[in-house]
Amino acid sequence: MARHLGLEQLATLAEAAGAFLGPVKSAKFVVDEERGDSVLVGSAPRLLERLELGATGRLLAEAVRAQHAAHGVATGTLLCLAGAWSRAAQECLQLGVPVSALVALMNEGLGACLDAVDALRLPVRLSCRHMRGPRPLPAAHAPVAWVPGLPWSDRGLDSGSREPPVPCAPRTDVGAREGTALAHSRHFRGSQGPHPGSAAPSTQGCHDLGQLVGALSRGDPGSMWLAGTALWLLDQSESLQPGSCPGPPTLDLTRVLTCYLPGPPEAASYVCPGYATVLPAAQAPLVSALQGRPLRAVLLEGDLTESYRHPGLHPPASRMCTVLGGGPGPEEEEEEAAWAERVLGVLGGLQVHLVLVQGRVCPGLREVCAAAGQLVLDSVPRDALWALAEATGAQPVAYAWQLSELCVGAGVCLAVLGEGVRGLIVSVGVNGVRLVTAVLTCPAEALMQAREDRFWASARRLQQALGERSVFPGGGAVELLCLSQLQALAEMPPDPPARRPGLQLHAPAVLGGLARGWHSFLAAALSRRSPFPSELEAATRVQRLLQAAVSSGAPDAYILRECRTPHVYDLVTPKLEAWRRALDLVLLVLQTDAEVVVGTAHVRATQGAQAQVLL
Amino acid sequence: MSRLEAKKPSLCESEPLTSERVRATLSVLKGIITSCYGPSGRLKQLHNGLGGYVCTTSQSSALLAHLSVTHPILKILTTAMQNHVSCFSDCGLFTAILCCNLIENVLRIGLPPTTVIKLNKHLLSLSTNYLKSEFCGCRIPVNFSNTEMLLCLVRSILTSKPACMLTHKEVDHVSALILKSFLLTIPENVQDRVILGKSIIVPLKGQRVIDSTVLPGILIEISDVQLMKMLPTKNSDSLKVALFCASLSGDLTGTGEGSMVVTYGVSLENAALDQLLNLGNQLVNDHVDLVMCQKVVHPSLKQFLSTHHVIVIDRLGAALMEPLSKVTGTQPIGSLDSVSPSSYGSVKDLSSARFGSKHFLHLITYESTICSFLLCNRNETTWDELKLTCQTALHVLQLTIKEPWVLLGGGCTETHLAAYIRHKACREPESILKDGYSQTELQLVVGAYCSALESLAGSLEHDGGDILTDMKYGHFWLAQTNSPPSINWQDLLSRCGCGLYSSQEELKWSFLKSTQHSFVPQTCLPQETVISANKLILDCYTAKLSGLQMAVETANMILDLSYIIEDQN
Repeated sequence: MARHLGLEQLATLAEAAGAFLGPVKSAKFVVDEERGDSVLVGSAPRLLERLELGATGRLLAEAVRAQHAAHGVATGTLLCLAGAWSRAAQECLQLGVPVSALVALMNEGLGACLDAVDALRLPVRLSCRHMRGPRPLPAAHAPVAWVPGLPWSDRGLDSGSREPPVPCAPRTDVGAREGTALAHSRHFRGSQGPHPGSAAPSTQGCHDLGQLVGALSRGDPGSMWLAGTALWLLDQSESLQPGSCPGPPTLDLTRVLTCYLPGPPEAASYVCPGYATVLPAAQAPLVSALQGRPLRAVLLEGDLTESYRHPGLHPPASRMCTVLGGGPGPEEEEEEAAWAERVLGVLGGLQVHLVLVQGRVCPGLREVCAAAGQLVLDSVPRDALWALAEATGAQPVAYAWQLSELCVGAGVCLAVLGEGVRGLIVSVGVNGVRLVTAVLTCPAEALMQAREDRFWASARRLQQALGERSVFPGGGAVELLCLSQLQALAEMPPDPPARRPGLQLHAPAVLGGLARGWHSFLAAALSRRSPFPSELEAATRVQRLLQAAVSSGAPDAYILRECRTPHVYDLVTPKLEAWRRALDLVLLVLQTDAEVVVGTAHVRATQGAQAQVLL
Repeated sequence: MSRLEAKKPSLCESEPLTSERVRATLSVLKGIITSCYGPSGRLKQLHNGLGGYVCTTSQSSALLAHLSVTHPILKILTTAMQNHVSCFSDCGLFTAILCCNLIENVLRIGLPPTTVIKLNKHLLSLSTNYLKSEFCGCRIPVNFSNTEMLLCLVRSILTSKPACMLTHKEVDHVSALILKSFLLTIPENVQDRVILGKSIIVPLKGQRVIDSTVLPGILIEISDVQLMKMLPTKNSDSLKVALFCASLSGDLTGTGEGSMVVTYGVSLENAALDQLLNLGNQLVNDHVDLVMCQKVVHPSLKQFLSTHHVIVIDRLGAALMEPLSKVTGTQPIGSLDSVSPSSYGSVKDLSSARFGSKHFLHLITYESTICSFLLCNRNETTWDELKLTCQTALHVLQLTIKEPWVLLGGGCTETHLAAYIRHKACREPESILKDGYSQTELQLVVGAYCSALESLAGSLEHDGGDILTDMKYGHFWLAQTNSPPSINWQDLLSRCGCGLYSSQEELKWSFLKSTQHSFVPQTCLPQETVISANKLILDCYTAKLSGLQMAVETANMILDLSYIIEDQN
């Protein structure tokens, strides 16, 4: 059997990009030799988007991109499995397994594993009781008022609690103390630690936000703590909405924004309600004048410049218009000044203090407005505009001349959160706004992108665990069950008619190859933890665990029992989808026998000799 | 100074098919196409070599759309194939492979083309007459009172496209959805002519296939999540709809490249906006509830309308206009001057829906033959392939409702037909031979024709397995590679290609390639056999029949070529 070039490329690429597996990630430098710049990347999608790839590589990148877009996590899993499986497929081909048998058996094996791991699902039941306390809350805990200044100070999440959350086990007294059930501080800090003996076994699922956040943090407790805080803050403002139904909590990521702050250490990151941004220090006097009193704000969806027109409108070019009568047309600068005056008139007439603009702002206008005591913020994200519109009843418009009293939102607060290298960090919020901003700090600017990616990965993880209302026990439990399942399947076919005659002959080789995928995943994941320094040792340990699970007779029960102790959770659908995508990718490449370069009409066989044929 | 260049002489190539080069390129093309055929066909990566999108496919339509061929003979072949695919969607590879096989086999026997062409025509009409006849042993009438057969037909199409990457469960789910969406396009009250509706495929890439669904009515993707909150509480039975195909962005229409003369002090933009607001006034006075526009709506007009509780949806795009106009009963409005009340239409209800990360507005309409097919697949490559496949399946269902038969799939129709023709030519040569051709000539051409059909069926196997045919029904049987030498076929085979017969029957098999002696394949498929079988592999009758005709006629045309004259200027 000839070598399969596609599978070889896939294996090599996937293994190179698979170094981002597991909680301990090593960043990589991507150097562009032509331009001489280099980028530090910390995740597989970021790496792949920087590389120039061939056809197979692009399929790999597409699979990773799709997984990242759909779930935001588990791309490392995808790459690790795709690499191991393409190696396994190659070996099977060399053993003479026909492609169709390989495809059928691999699909059968994965299908069986997907069915088997369903038994390991743990429910996540965070009821509103754990998230929301009955009102009225003690004054010190009341999250009702918008408090300018330190958003933490009297929210229970006191500034001292900025250390990462410690996973805490559910406590027996959760239900007993109804009055303070909100007790977010307890959940987030968990400083008391689990009561010995009272911890419910994790087989019964997760009932506690603190526990969930801790168990999902995957070596990045800081980001997960931020995500948990965002969830809690959003849940607080949700509970203020009239007619809000206390369903199970969900994390709506369109209501979470990020704001970079280079300089301070990572631990200084925090989450604040409302929209936070960095303003140049020159605006400080204006900000301090506006701070601490209810403000009137308007929201503009386009640019605030004279030449802005909404998309889809093409004003006629001036050369096409001949003006009859009158003197020469006004100069451009005059026109702009006249326009600025009109805008200022509109804003003044409505007694606006704050203008939030989605696009750019004409610099001249910004100065004029500042002189009139109006603060103009540009590049405000669309989600921020809409969340503020929803909370204040203001209506976002495209042009300043559309503004009317109906478009003004009242009661908006401006607060200074701190001072950074680049200026003031301010937040814009309003009572009950369903919007939070994670202010991400990072000492090295090169790591900023990775910092943000990590935050979003944590937020996506929390969002999906809540959305699915179930998790898997982590730490390799699921993979171990798959291994035992495959072992059973290879030895004992389901029922004879389920498999085509002839397939059984190849089953041990193919299913063994499939098992290698999870084996190498487990070994790689374990070897990155401190007690197992080498991959070899990790592999031995995996083998031992597998033997124990199989010989116990009921692997799923054994694994659930064994994996109870460390509180680590994995997501369900993202993980299973990553498996499926990895196998799809390998099978797609496996079944491909030719690469047709179109346009220039080249046909190149990827399998065997490189033959080029012109049609 | 003008410069004249002498014209190049035309290039003339005589007997093009005798050239080694032509035969070689033909066999490369055949290799590419043949390797794609069937459920275990190999895939092709198509890309432009410069980066960007990689199309991974084994479908004739995608393959042909990208493949550029230069030789005129290949062009004839690919054009014929494309014509067939554009009319019938299915059986493109079938047509192309059969055509290549015929050309190759005929060149091998070395008879004069005129003789071969004449005889081929006779054999073609013998084949089509048999397939159309009542006693045909590989044709089944479709029972519309039961979905099973239609589901089998759809499932066969889905499983024959491996690049869709579907598991068995997903195949079942998507087949059911395709059938459901097809049934939704059939009008309830049928007069003398049935006009089928349309199912609109709405893309949802990145989701699980199992999340795909079919909804009656139209789904419009909305980027504006806030619009959802504006949905009115329903106070009447229907909503009045105005549909614009003209831009409402405030653009000055109709100026083209010309220039305009404007009086001083007049702002063109304001004039355009005034006109729009007048239109808005009229819409409000006419109690329109929903305004939809193919292009952009001016923000001021939007603001004006929404203060009057009119819902505005813009940037619908051209593709949705025709179905929208059909289901709402509106006349798309192309001018802003005045709107005739007769162009308004209505929808029954409006709701919002969320699938994956996308938000949709769901229009539920009185006209019920339009449905939306939300199609999911994990990534772009597999989604594109699945979309093409679904379109093919929907088209095949439409063809099947016109001619309510299906053919046995999985290679069985081809081998059965070949056996039938061999038998006819051997036992009743006088039924074919009327023009005075010799018996030997007939045997040679029949051999070429039938082995073209048989090796077409054999192309379904790509892993070197053994291909057999039984001596009773003439069906196609496949044995895995590396079968042990002491052969007990009964245990090694399970079911025939189409799934109709089991190997446990008392059958005799022979290798397909060595089948030279003729036997009478059993004609007249008994109804009970079909009913008792489940999960049959079925092929579209109309598409396969015309594919057969197209293949033989194209092969005849190519065989008939004696000169290629190329203008080199």
